[in-house]
Parts: sequence; structure tokens; C-alpha cells
Amino acid sequence: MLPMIVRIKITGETNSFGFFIPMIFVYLLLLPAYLICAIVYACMCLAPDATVTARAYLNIVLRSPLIFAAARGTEVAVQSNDSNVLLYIQ
Amino acid sequence: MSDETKKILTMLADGKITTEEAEKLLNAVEKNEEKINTDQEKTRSSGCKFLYVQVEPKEGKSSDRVSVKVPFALLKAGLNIVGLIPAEAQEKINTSLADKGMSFNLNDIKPENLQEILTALEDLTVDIDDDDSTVKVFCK
Repeated sequence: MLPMIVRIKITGETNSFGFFIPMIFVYLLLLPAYLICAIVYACMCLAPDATVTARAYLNIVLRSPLIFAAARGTEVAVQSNDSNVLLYIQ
Repeated sequence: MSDETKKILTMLADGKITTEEAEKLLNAVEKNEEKINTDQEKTRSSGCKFLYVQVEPKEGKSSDRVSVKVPFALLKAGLNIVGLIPAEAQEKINTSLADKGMSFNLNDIKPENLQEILTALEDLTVDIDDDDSTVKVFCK
């Protein structure tokens, strides 16, 4: 399953704040890129020489959501003297 | 040679079973051993869920403390995608890596040795002791 929320928490000396990024918007932003890829793929399939290469690249594009899905649970925490930053993909 | 295989061969030598029966039994034992090995491999793989990178400052030093936790599944997905990169693109990547002083061949990452790489990563532990900080890379 694709990650749906990215949580970012920043703690400073004076104030701290945290926010959630709904990933659905990121996926919607990526949708045009996928459409463009589909059109490019269709065009490449018209050229017999490029079909093999097109298939290879299409495999990568089709599997890219797996990378997002596998990123669930990633956590990055940075603690410095004056602030702490936490990023969590869930 | 396992105990089961020895028993089957002894039974065959004693004439208690025919060669066909012995063959069937040996195949069954072989399949069972393969299943056990696969289960052990799976158990071993599932034991390691995350790759950790931790940077800890030394006492009295003011450097940042960094902790990165990356799911093992992400590494697996990344390695799988590397295997799908077309050969000509891989050549370009290899050349670029070589130019930067990293003689690493992406063609070496194949589906058949993927599990081997992941198993090796599970045993990975890197400790870097610097004047300012300590860096640890490990799986857990």
C-alpha cells in the first residue's frame, strides 16, 4: 500500500510545530507525469527499433509505485543544539 | 549426506525397497530439505526489518545527532528496479560511476543474486569512529 501521510515535526528552542502532508496530493501531481509517460510510450511503440527500449523503461515506470510503497516506515531524525527535526513516512 | 538419505540407501542395499521406490523417497527428501532451507531463509530475511544509520556526537562535541531508519523493503525494491534498467543506460551509469572513482558494475545486480546481497546486508555493521562523532550502520 502506498504511503498516505508524511509527518514532519520541527522542535525549536522557542516554538515547535508539526504538520502532516497528505500524499494523495503528491500522487495527483504525479498523475500528469504518468499520462505523459503513457503517450511517450505509445509513440515509442510506433518505432520498431525503440519498442524494446520502451518496454524496458515502461517496466521501471510501472514499478515506481513499489518504491513509494516500500518507503513506508522511513524515519529521519536530526537533533541539533537549537532544533530537532523528525520526518516520518507512514 | 543427510540421515534420511543414508537410511534410504541402506534400505535399497538391503533389498527392502526397489530402485524406483528409493528414487521417489530421495526426491521427497530433497524437496523437504529445499523447503526447510527456504523457510530458514525467509525467517532470516524477516528478522531484519530496517537499516539504521546513526550519527552520534562525542562527549563535549556540538555536532548534530542524526538517525535514519530505512525499511529493508525499500532497499529490496531499489535493487529490483536497478535490475530493470536497460543495458545501455546501465553502461552509462557504470561509466559515470567509474569517472567518479567508483568502479561498480550495475550489471552484477541480477535477480538470482539479489537475495544474496540482501542476506549480506543483514549482517552488515559499520562503525566509524571520528574525532567529533561516531557513525553506525546496522540492520535490526
